[in-house]
Amino acid sequence: MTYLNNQKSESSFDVNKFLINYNNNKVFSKLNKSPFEAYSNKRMPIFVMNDIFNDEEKQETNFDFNEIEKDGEFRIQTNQNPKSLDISSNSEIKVSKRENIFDNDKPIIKRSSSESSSTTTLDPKIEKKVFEAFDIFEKAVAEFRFGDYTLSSGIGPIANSLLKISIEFGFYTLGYVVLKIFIDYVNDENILIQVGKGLCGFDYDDVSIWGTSTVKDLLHSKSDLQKGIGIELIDNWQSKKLLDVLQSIEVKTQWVQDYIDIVIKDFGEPT
Amino acid sequence: MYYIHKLSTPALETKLASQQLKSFNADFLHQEFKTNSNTLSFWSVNNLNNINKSDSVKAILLAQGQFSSAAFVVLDKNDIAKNNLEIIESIGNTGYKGKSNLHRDLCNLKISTVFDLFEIYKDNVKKESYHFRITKSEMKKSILKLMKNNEIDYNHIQNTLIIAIFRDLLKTEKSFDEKSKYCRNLIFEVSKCKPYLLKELFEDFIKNKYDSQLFLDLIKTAFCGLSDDFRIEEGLFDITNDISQFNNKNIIDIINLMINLSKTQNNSDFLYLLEDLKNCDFQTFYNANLGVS
Repeated sequence: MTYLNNQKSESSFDVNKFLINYNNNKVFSKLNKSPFEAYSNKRMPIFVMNDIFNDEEKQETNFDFNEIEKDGEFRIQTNQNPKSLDISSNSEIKVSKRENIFDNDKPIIKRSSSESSSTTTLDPKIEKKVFEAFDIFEKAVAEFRFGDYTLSSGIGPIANSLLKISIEFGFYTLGYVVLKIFIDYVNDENILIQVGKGLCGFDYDDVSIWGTSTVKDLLHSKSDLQKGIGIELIDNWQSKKLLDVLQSIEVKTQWVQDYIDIVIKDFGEPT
Repeated sequence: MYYIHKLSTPALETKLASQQLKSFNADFLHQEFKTNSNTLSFWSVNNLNNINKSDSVKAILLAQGQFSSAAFVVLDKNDIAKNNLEIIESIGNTGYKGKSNLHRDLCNLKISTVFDLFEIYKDNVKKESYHFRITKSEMKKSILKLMKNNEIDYNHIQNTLIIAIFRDLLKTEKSFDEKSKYCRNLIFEVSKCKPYLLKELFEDFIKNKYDSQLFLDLIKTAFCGLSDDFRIEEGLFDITNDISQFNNKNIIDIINLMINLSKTQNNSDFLYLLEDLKNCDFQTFYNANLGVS
């Protein structure tokens, strides 16, 4: 397992010099542009490096690495010999024996048996936090179903709970909560729509690691309403990298297509 | 006279324009056209010129709970009269100073009048000047400008929007001084109007955007904004003794101490430090860390 870390790691990794072919059509020529500058003062495991080189594992963790856009050095920390990774020959890696030093409140993905295992589990401490955060969400769901609130102004209880989770537990835990919501509430459109509306309030920088897959989930839903929320997310997150996602979806309904056209047009206009 | 209504979702604009009413799902009323006490919220405006920059739209933006793109539909008074809809003046819950009187309620709505309203909306979303959109970045700019002009009433702005504004200020690519100025302004107002919100703001700040210099500025500002006799029952400023017993130097020293300690720690430890801080009064904290019994 390999992590990227931007602080306090003795292992360093000059990523300026190699290319990564990823997901068939993505080539990152300069990975020294850290996608994680938004989290610049945090120590956190970023993602499993193997994912970059192995599409299957990438899908398994359900993260997306499209947002590699900001300058800044970062370092790699690993408990696997980086030399065993399939990195192109002109990359430079300094190997360290230092163990993981991650924060307890940051999610750590652990392979259940070996590196090549197909199952991933969360660190128990992190899992506990995810469940605590999910409790907040579930209380909000109850409030949403039975409470009195307005949608036209303010935000509903579900959106409010997502904001609360982001403050109390951080965006990374929120990502796990959202992934869990999309599994547990897969057939509950009303809840997913409220979740989508809540996510609109966040900036893409904060949620990019898991946000893109969330958008994809919504856009590939059979429901037009969920598609609409997916488009609304792209509309709000205003990341040009999401344009590709938007343009690639299949649309059968006129209003959805019209909405896509409006959002694409807005992308083209200077703000 | 015209009346502006913010649609619950921007997608509704295109849906109304291209879809027959009969094909709408039953959940639509709950999901996208939710009435409250049989009323719908509108904001009045005198003319359609530059309507997206009108006071009413600013009032709507400052009534929201988060930054997000929005679509609006405009009705004129003839639409209201022609369909026997009832609209009354009511006080709007907006953070735009002195503009809450622009709010109107379309009241006593029945299922049949809601359908009439849909038909008006369907017509108006096809007319050029009767509908418009505001993007998230435009909303941010607009609110920042209102903040700059001191036109925000922090007593009536939603807490979640305050958090959103704070987060946005921290991310702006302005110079440190300018960023600090805006943030201090916000923290000062919040400490006066909604001190209970400081805990969340600082917690969020520390978790996501730790910057010791800015943090120092903001903590000092928060102390300035808190009145001497104000006691906050929980959170970062859980001070058991009256804050007025500390002079500025004490506070600055404490903060400096805290910052120095934080430099030797990682973010989590800094958080724990703040957790400790809320459990003791500042004098004790100060003495303890200087080795004074």
